[in-house]
Amino acid sequence: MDKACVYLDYAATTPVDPRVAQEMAGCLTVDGVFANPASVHAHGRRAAEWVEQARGQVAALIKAEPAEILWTGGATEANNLAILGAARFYGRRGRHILSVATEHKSVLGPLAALAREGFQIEYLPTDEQGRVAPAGLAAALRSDTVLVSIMHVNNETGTVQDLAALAVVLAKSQALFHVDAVQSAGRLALDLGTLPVDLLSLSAHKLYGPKGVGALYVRRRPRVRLAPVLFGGEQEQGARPGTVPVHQVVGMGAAYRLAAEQGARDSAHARTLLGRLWAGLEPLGGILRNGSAEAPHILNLSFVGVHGEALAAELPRLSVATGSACTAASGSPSHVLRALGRPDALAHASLRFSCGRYSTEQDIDSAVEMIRSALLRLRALSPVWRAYREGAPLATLYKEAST
Amino acid sequence: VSAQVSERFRNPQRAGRLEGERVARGSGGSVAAGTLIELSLACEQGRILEAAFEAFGCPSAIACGDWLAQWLIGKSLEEAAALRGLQVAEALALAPEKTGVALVAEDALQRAVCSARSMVG
Repeated sequence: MDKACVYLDYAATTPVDPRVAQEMAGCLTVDGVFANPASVHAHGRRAAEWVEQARGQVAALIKAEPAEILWTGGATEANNLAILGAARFYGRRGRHILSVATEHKSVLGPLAALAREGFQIEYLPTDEQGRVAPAGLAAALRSDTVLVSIMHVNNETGTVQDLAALAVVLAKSQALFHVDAVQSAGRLALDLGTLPVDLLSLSAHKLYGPKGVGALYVRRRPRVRLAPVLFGGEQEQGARPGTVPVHQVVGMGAAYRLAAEQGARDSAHARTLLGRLWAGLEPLGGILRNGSAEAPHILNLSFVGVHGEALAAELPRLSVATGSACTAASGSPSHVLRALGRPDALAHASLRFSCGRYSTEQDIDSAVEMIRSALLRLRALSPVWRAYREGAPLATLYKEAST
Repeated sequence: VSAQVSERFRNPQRAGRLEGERVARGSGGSVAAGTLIELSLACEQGRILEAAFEAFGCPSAIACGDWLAQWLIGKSLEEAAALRGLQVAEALALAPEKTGVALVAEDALQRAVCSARSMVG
């Protein structure tokens, strides 16, 4: 990769830690632990041992029991299995499900599928940073609420939900509590020994492990049951058929072991770098933070006076997530920023910065310089920026079409 | 993005806002719709002596504003009024989905010409 390019998109995916890659490589070739862990012969038993060791490593990071961890093909599958599996298994208890409009699409998608099956999905209100208030959850909770799905750290804005306070509201309810913890695991403390969450989705590749593997925590005491989403063999307690990919889960286990060792240090490093980024950008003016910026590794900013597509075009050497990605027109902005009340044009002109283990001060300083020069150029010819500088209020400048 | 758009986006020649008594202005589009172009024209006896643009928009919008402002210099108001957005789109080899941006440029031009004529009148 071109050394002049800066990668600040760790919330999208992280590079695999070389120590993880090395352990994975030991599970592929004939002299390694390549066998099918479901096989009862010596090769298979050895592979099964490695799989169980990895399961223990994943469980240890979130203080769960190894038997509470199910391997999946990624966090999208974990979210699907948790939501579809729990709703369908417990559907006779009730047909009402609560979630939030700012959830990841791998949560919103299965919820939409359940709505087509007759479940009633209700989205909880949030404050302007995307936080769900415990009182709001209490008010929306019904006797027939069967599932509540709320992510821990929002992937776009880094807003952190107070899971403990939300769990208190659910304590006396029959509703199961599912948490998408993809962005928080290994970055914020998670203790399933004390946090009464029933289902929790995990990913490997957001935490220096490989893509294509994830896990679902399923509480054993009290036992949470799931209707299977996939059908086939008896692997993973019958909840998730398919040959367990030893190299993938060993990679996830190694990544989670390393996160347990150095996650706090990684988070402090990321927080320091994002602080440096904000300190470099803030003096440029007209930059709004989206979300609460509480997560250590995510900072989402909207840039006043510039168009999202022009901004992205000015930053070819900065690998960050852009509000204009995948949307040619400003008509389809981020569903998350829209839920937080940002005008579409400001949501469109947003950048999500996320850094991690291998990010450097040099990366941050280069990013600041690239953005400074892009803003200088684009704002110089922007009538919106001129009006903003002359004192026009943002609400007027970015007034949405009335239709 | 075409080479023409790319070049004008990178190095616009006519970016800015003209000031003065003889300057007429016109704008097209809106922030909410994703493109806002403002044209300034300095005219004398029905002829455009100077033109400049400001744009909030994608690279194609900036290129349209720049092409238009440059093309307008030396033209009569009649010639200016006859220009259509599709000609701008053609000159810049805009991608088909960006044709709307050129129409916003046309709106800005029509309003600027209208304003210039009312000043003359």
